[in-house]
Amino acid sequence: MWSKIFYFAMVPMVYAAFAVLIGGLLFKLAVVFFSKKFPGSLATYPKRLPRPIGVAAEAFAVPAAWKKDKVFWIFIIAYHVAFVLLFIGHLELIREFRALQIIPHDVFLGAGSVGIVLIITVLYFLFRRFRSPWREISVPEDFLILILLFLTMFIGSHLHLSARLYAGGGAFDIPVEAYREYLSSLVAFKPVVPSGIADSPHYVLVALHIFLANLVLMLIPFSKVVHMAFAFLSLNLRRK
Amino acid sequence: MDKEKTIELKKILKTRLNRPMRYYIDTCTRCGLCYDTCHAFNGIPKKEYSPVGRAEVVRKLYKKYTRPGGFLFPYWSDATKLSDTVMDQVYEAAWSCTGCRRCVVNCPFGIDTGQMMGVAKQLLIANGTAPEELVMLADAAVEKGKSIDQFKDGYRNVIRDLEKEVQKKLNLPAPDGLIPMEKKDANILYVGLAGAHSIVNPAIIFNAAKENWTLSFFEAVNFGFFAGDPEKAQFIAQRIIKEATALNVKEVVIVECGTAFRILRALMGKLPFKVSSIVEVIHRYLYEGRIRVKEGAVSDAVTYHDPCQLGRNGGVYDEPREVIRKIVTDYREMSPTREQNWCCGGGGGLVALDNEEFRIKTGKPKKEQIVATGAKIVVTACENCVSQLKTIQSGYGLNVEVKYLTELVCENLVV
Repeated sequence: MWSKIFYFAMVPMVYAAFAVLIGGLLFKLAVVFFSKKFPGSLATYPKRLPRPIGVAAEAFAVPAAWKKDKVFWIFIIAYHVAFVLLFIGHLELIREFRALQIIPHDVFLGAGSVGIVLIITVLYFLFRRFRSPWREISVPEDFLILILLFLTMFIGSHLHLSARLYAGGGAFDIPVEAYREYLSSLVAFKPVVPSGIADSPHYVLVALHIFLANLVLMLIPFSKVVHMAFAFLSLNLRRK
Repeated sequence: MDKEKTIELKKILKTRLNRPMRYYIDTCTRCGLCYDTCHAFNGIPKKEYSPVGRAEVVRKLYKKYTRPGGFLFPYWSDATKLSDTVMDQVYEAAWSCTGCRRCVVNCPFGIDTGQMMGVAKQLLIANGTAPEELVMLADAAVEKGKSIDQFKDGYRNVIRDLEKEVQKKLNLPAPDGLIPMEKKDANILYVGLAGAHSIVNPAIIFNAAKENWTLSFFEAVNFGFFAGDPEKAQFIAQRIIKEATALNVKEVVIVECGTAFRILRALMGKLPFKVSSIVEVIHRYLYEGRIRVKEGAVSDAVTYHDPCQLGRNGGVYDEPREVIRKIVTDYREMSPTREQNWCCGGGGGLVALDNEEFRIKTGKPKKEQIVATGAKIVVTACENCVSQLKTIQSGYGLNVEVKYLTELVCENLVV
């Protein structure tokens, strides 16, 4: 029974999550591009940098946060940088990318620090919402997403740290090769859950981690997390 | 709220769901960075007067009626149904927003709460709860546009009286033709307001610069835009566009009215003529040597209030400052300034409503800015701003004089 549930979370649900993510984002973007354009200009002034550079600067450096709340800015930047590293780390769990190994490093990147940074920043974002005035402007969805992210990252980080602690054959070590076998089989549409994962005492946590990550992926197009795509578009409007 | 009204309001929500609105609905993370960037919130610290608080009122309606998540799981996104209570919230949100867009420059995603309040205002019109004063003024402007020929003779008589004031100021022998009307192929079509000052002072400047200009039959102010009625706003703006096109003018110059300037310059798409503010034209004349002012003639401390639609939303920052600096010896900049300058609290049609107490309270950040400069004269280039600054001046008992930029220039013009 449990093995069927774990298998569901680790195989069919992963495909479903990616289908919802990609389909949802494409649908959202298609709806946007087929919707009525604004006939005039929504620009604000001064426009200090050329449009593409200005949009990129505002999206990646978030000067609006820097001017207003430097602590918040540090957490925003730390979270987003860690998220990029997390993404790279997961790519390397599929297979080795030579381009990513220009600076040689262990897989997963960051020796555990990436997960810790993500957990701390997500907790900051979450607890910030319990204080006024953020409490008044928050809606349940804001808490739900942060709790989901926290749980996903906490379990993922735990799996990584225990693998590092028990590296070389300890009870809780799930080697990189096992993840690569699993993830590359998913990519090749010949899914298997290898014994390196299925026989590990941490199998339940791997399945839970993937289950939660699936939920996050499916939520992206239909929640405020879509700002990862729309931020560039709305910032572009301000410079048109 | 009855079913038919709900259907009508839902239709408005859907028709206004254009590309920017889609971004604004989905992108906001409720990070709260905009929370205290609104002058209204600074004056009256209520969530409802914060940009995010206002935007959420409209966003929650959109979530309910256009997002499957909001329809299926309204609790999660706080999606709300249309109701009389919600429409009261919509009113409070829309009619506390001046559309100054200070929140836009402070939002990490550039979300335009002003645009969202445009939808809110249209909902209120359909609901029959929009401010009557503005709806009536918009209707009057539309009526004038439809039957302009009936108004022309009366308007010409008024203008003849104003020509005498221009003649007096410029020491000219005769007043005839000092305010030309319906002049074809003129370089400039000037669009003023109903007040004599908005025609006399620019007329003095145009004549001093020996400009080939003509006066519009229409007022620049767009009450359709203020009221939130896109059809009337379009009609009112098109009256001027048609007049300018028929007269084949090269440039349309807008009176000291920030919104009128922004509508024609930024919101009407590509036009067959240039659109400028009178402020830019004065600056041009000064630097081309077509007019001269008494340099350093004013020794009192002077500060300049950037009208939001001219500065932050129009990019006209340097021209008024350079003009003022030519005339005054003690110019003092407000802090914060330029794109971060506080709105006076009178824009977006608010100054036309019976809400003086609210405007005095929400004018608090502007009052503090003025006091901090120690200036004796506050110059600005917008009709709404002048009215609101005068309300702030009397409301807080400030010992300052509020002046139009054209007024300052005319008082110190070398004739």
